[in-house]
Amino acid sequence: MTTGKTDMTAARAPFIKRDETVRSMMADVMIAAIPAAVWAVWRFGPRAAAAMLVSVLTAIASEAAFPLITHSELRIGDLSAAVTGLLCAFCLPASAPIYAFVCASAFAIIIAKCAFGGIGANIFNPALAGVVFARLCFSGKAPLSGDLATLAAGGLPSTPMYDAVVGATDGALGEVSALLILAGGVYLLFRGVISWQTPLAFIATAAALAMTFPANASSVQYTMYEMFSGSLILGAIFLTNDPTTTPSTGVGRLIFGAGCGALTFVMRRWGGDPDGVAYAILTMNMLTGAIDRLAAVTLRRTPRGGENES
Amino acid sequence: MAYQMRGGVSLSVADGQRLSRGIGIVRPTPPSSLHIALPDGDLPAVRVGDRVYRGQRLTVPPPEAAAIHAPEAGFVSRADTEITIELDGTDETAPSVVKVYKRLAECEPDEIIEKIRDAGIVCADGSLAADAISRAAGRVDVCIVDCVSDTAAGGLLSSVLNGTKIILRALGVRRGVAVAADDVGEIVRKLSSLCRKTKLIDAAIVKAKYPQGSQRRLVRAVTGREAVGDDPLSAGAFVVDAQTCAAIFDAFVTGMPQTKVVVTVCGRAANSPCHIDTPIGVRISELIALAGGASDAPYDVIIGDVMTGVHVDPEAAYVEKTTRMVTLLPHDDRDTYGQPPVCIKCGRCAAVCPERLLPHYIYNCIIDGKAGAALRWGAERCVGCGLCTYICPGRAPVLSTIRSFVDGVRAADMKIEKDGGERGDDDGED
Repeated sequence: MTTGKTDMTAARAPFIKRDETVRSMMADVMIAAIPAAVWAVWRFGPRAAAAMLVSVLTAIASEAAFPLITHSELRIGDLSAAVTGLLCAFCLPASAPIYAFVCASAFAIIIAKCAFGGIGANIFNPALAGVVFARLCFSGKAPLSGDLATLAAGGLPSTPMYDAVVGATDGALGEVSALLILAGGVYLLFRGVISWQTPLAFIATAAALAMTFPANASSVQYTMYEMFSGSLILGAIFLTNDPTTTPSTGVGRLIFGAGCGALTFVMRRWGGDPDGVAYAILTMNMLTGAIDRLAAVTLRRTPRGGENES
Repeated sequence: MAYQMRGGVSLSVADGQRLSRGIGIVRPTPPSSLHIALPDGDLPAVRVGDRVYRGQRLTVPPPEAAAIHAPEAGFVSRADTEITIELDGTDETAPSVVKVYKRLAECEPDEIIEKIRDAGIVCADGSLAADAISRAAGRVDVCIVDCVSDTAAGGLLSSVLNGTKIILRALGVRRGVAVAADDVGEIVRKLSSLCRKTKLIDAAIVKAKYPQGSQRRLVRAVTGREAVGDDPLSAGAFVVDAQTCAAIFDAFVTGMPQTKVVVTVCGRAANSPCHIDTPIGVRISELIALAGGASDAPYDVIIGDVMTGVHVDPEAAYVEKTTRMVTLLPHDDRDTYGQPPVCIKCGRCAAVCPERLLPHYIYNCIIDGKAGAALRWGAERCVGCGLCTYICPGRAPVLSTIRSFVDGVRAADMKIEKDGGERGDDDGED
């Protein structure tokens, strides 16, 4: 008769774990990004593939190098660095020089993530921080989608609506095809990796504001172009669902998404940045802790009294 | 529509949490010797070489503990901190085993509680049934019977309901509710048809979702009231597990004290998961063999369920009055996946926490040494269900971190209370 193993050291309740791990979550994000990545290569040529590869490798190398200096734990195996690198590449246009991709990735991992204490401890979405850094450093060499500038100036873009939706337009690598990004989002929702609250609140708020305050006469067309131009959909699906830098309660995510949508629209319509998504999300990142506290205090407090009459 | 709690998860049968088919109970012949470990303070009432009879009292317990009785007749071969009985195969019953001849309506509550005390009946949570009932008498308006946590209840339902009537009489309450989960159709059907025959007890069906069987959530499901902490009495409800009711009924109709339990042997490493009727004192390894054995690969033995159980050595652990489940799991290491544990603040734990806490905030506060903040986030409201750790994709040891923190805080509180008490206490017992 076989007896049970009696190694008592590691055994502590609970004895089962759900199969999902950080690695599987990150792998799912990579899978969800494949359609948009393939489209970027199709649309912008091998240069896009090279840019994405360089970004991912830079991120992994930075993540691996950081512990050499700080003697912290090596965590490249959780794939989060690879995801950050890919998202950095997604947010920069193919015309940007390769060193801009390297800079964005390295800044994202070393400054925005590891310097804050690594995964779980960073305040700002690392990919966005890296992208904003690169854009500020190499602004002349990384032009944004022209459609957005036209929209902000009060005109309607020359790109047909169909092209804007499927992604036959200019812009950053990953943001052009809203449709394929939404497909990735459906996959992530189906896998339970992301929640529905942030994307829905983000897109709905931005759309509602665009309908209410259009920059030109045709509010429906204006709203459609606002939704499908630039990185709004990319932001709503991939960038606001970073677990670490976004709220962890359903209500908190609704507030967060609504805030991102509102800030994005305000920056696009009246601000200086024709895209606005990156700054909107980074701004809301700062409020993540406060939103969680608010949600916990107002909505989750268990009544302490037991004397409720029945 | 079955009541559904907030938070929690549906655990699959493959996790070894529940047996959803077959509520029949296996009654094999017990092994040749029984081992009963005595709790601190209990003294043996028998000596080595004594002949003991079924139902004979074996210990002299302190007033707050339950007496332990011999499950079968045999000879005592050890009597110190453990009593060992070598069974002789005879079926002689002790003269002290007498059933109650009176009708239930003629029994006074005190009389019933005394009988339950004499029978040494212990609830699944380890409390003395007689004390629990007398504490609850006059403070509650409903008695809730938990048939959720323990699927073995399905095979004992008529005893369970009869035992509930006895408890209702002792409590002076006229409303009992037997709660079952909706994943075991046979229990639901049987319970509903039995409850239709009695005015005193209603059946309530809840969605099978862990940890629905915990006392707070049962109270909530049945009464809609919120108990303070772990104490259902604060919400005017008495919660008792099904097997305790059945043991009380047995004590009344046969006079036998509590000497046996029905243990569910299950888990992915169990060859034939089943409910097994066993005397207390059976070695866990023997119980596993009686229940059909386990897989050949190394496995872990857990007393209790996969979420809150305790890992034991099957050769050194025995069936006790509180044993309800033995889970056998293949010895694979799913604790890590090659990466250091980390909290990524994804909020999975907050979504499943039945207490609606934010476990990751508490965990991070404790890791950062912010005790006050951890308490403000409600660390002490943790009920220890383990879901936060089960669901954590970073494999962070959330539960054990929070529990050891709370234990530390409680110990410190007690020390302060004790010091304060000594200063303020005029009687000065010491």
